Amino acid sequence: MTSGFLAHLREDILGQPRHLLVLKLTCLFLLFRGYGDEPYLFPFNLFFAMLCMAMLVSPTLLTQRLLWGSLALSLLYLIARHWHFTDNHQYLMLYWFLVCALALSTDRTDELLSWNSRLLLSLAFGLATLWKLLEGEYLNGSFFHIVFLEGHELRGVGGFLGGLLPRTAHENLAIVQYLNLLPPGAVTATLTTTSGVRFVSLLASYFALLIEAGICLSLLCRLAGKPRWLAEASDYLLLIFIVSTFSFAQVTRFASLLAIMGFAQCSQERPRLRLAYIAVYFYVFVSHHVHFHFLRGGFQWAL
Amino acid sequence: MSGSGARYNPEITATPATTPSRPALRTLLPSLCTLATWGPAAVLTIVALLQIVMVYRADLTPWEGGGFGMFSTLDYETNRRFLVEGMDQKGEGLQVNLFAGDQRRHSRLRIKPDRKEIERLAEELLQTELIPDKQEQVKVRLGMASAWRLRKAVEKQSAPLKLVRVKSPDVEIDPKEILRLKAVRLSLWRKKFDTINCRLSWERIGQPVVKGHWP
Repeated sequence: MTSGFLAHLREDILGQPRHLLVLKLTCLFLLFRGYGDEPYLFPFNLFFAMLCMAMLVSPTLLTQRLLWGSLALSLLYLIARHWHFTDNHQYLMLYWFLVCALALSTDRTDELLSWNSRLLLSLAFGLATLWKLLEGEYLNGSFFHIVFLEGHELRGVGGFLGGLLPRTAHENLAIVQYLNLLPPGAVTATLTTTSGVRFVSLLASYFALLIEAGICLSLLCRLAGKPRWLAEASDYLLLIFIVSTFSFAQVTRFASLLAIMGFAQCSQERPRLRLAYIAVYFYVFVSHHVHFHFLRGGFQWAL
Repeated sequence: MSGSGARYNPEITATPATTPSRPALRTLLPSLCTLATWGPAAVLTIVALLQIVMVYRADLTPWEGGGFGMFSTLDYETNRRFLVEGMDQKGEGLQVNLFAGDQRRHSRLRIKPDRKEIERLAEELLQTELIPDKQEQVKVRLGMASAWRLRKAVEKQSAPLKLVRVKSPDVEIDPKEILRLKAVRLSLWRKKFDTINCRLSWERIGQPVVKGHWP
């Protein structure tokens, strides 16, 4: 009975035109997650929620390019006004809504959604890799090293995997907090680490560098059509990146957007991968409320 | 076409499509298709290039500005701090705690330090009434009095200055305690981490802004 239900669900999801599902997932994302959490964004989030609800209910409104254009214009206004405080995923949201509005203005909506998601994702991951190389903090592992020692969210994970004693981890945090109270300048603070934490930091750094560069290259190969083996790896790399990164780091809007764009560019000949994107999309939705706290709590309990 | 997994060809897309119900739009379609194919990526690239220029020319943090530099470096807003050193009318050195002022404005300046805006902030501080920041001083003393290892780990090269903050209108205080600056020096610092020695330190960003008669 369960398998029958799953087969029916699968048919129901994959049976509808891909671009319509992409538009629905985008509306659902904006409806539930909004543009941002800051209090001044409330009127905009309310406007987005009402618009998305109407678009989800009415198939005619869902494919109205003017509505997608108005969403893109609203985001453009918000970004132009508050660009100092705009995160990367909010820029990506703007570009994606622009893609939806432009693609709906032509009769090749599905192809344009697919093409643009590949192009935008490869550019975004390429730039992310470039910055990591330019700053050099991933090459020597220092970014993750300090994040594991002082970062509130990932401290438990790095400490647990690197064998840092709980008492030492708390002392490190106290040192950083004390350092933050003192005027900046001629003041330094030495933290305590272990060879395990250093190793885990390097491992995490090179994993992030390689997977982001891999996604960029594989998507570019997908656009070029060769080499085939690398082009076909893009979906697996993107799915691994979303799940591995966003299980620990609380940037779920970015993850949801990546899952939507991943689904939009995934070939219709690969139904399992398309279902995997949908599953990851909902996993990110749930993880925002449950999984992250569970994981973090687990590591802190283990410490 | 994409349903069969075939590759999208922008050149084929650029041919006019037929939409009989909208004759005016039909004439626009080739440019719309080209715009839809390359437009969003072009906007992303232009914004990212501007961001790279601003990071290297104007000390913008790589985390902001739409260049996809988030999580690439420790140089983000909360790891940047203003050091505001002042001199009162008697010539005594003070440190102004900016946490008590307009937070959004200070955050904006930490993200992208606009020199003219920092000069304006310095001039405003010269005109502002300041009061001793006893709460913050207690926190520092408590920090100093905690674990021995903590005291050993943190090395200071200079004695801390007396902390003051901007007086908010609702605060009632003895007028004798109100201070005014005759000179102020603002500098922006970012946290650095030496992974080999596992040491956190500060690095100054640009030249400090000085207003008033600084000795």
